[in-house]
Amino acid sequence: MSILTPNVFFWGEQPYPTGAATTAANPQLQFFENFPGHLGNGFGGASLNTLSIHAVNIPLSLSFNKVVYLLLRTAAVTASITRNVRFGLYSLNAGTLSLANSAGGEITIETAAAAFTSWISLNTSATQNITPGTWYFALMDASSGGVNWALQMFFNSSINPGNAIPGGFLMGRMTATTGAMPASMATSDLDITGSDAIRQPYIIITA
Amino acid sequence: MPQLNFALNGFVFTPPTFATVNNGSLSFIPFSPTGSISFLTMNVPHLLTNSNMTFTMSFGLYSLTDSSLSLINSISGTHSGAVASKRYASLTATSAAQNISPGTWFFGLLYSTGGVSNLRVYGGLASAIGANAFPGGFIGGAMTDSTSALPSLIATSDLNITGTGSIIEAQIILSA
Repeated sequence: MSILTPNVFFWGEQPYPTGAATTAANPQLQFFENFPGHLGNGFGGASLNTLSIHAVNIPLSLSFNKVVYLLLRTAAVTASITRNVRFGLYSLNAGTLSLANSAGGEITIETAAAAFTSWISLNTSATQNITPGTWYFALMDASSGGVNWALQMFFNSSINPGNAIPGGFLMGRMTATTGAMPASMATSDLDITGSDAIRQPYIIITA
Repeated sequence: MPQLNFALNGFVFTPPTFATVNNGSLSFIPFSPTGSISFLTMNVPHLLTNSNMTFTMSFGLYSLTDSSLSLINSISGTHSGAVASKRYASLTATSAAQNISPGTWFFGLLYSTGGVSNLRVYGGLASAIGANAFPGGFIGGAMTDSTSALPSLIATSDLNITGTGSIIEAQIILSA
């Protein structure tokens, strides 16, 4: 098992192998977040029927139980609203992303007297102990209808670079529409340029 | 697993700010070192809002099994500030030597401010947090009962996990 450089959760750490350590054979995390909230840009409408996907380095094992994200309802809800939100956990081999696990389904936003921010959790489809390493998180709103600006997710960035992200695949967005998490997709089929690619939702995985 | 010289926790929520401590009760915050680290010194940034503030900190290191937090170790210290300012408070009095193993732990932060109000820690919390109870696994919460000692065992179901006052992720820096 290799120990990768931790993700942004511990930006200042430098592990020095200076001595023996007493450790469990398989240390577990209780949760993992894809990027610290303080780097977040803010709430925004999510594009429908297409997925955004990005790389994360998970430093220790984590039981894949719940997927949590933030939802902003921008105004009072006088009738319940149903959305179809899906999460995909992907691995990357050469230039192909393969679906390893998933979570989600229909969620119902109940009536409320005023705008509110809410945690939303999605149940995973199969038990899995996520091993340390690089994985890819994908999230999509597969609801019918147009973009619903009254329901917003919390995103990481609004920057809009003019060129494609160089180097190995880090993040991108599907250009085709889909109503389900694809079993596999080529990274070459993803848009990796500009704010479309950079803009990724804030996600917490918990045991 | 590597041996770390220091480890710090991050902020789950946005943006980090100085939030009022849960005086006379505990706030539980996550701490997930990716390598082992000797439990020797802890530094915590604070905002002292009044001059001549003296406060005592007793922080418990807890492990989580199912839905119970168990006290494994503790560290304590006292800090004084002559003027209202931002300051690091340092804790070095650990109850037992320990090499903290990698994984997710929780610190229970117990403050005693001698009646002085509005001591603040630098932490993640505030505007973007959801108004409902956090729906995933336990990532932190606050006791609602008053206490003067670290509980040896506490159920996560006994902690408040709803709203902006419940999950204050104070920044802590452990150094070996």
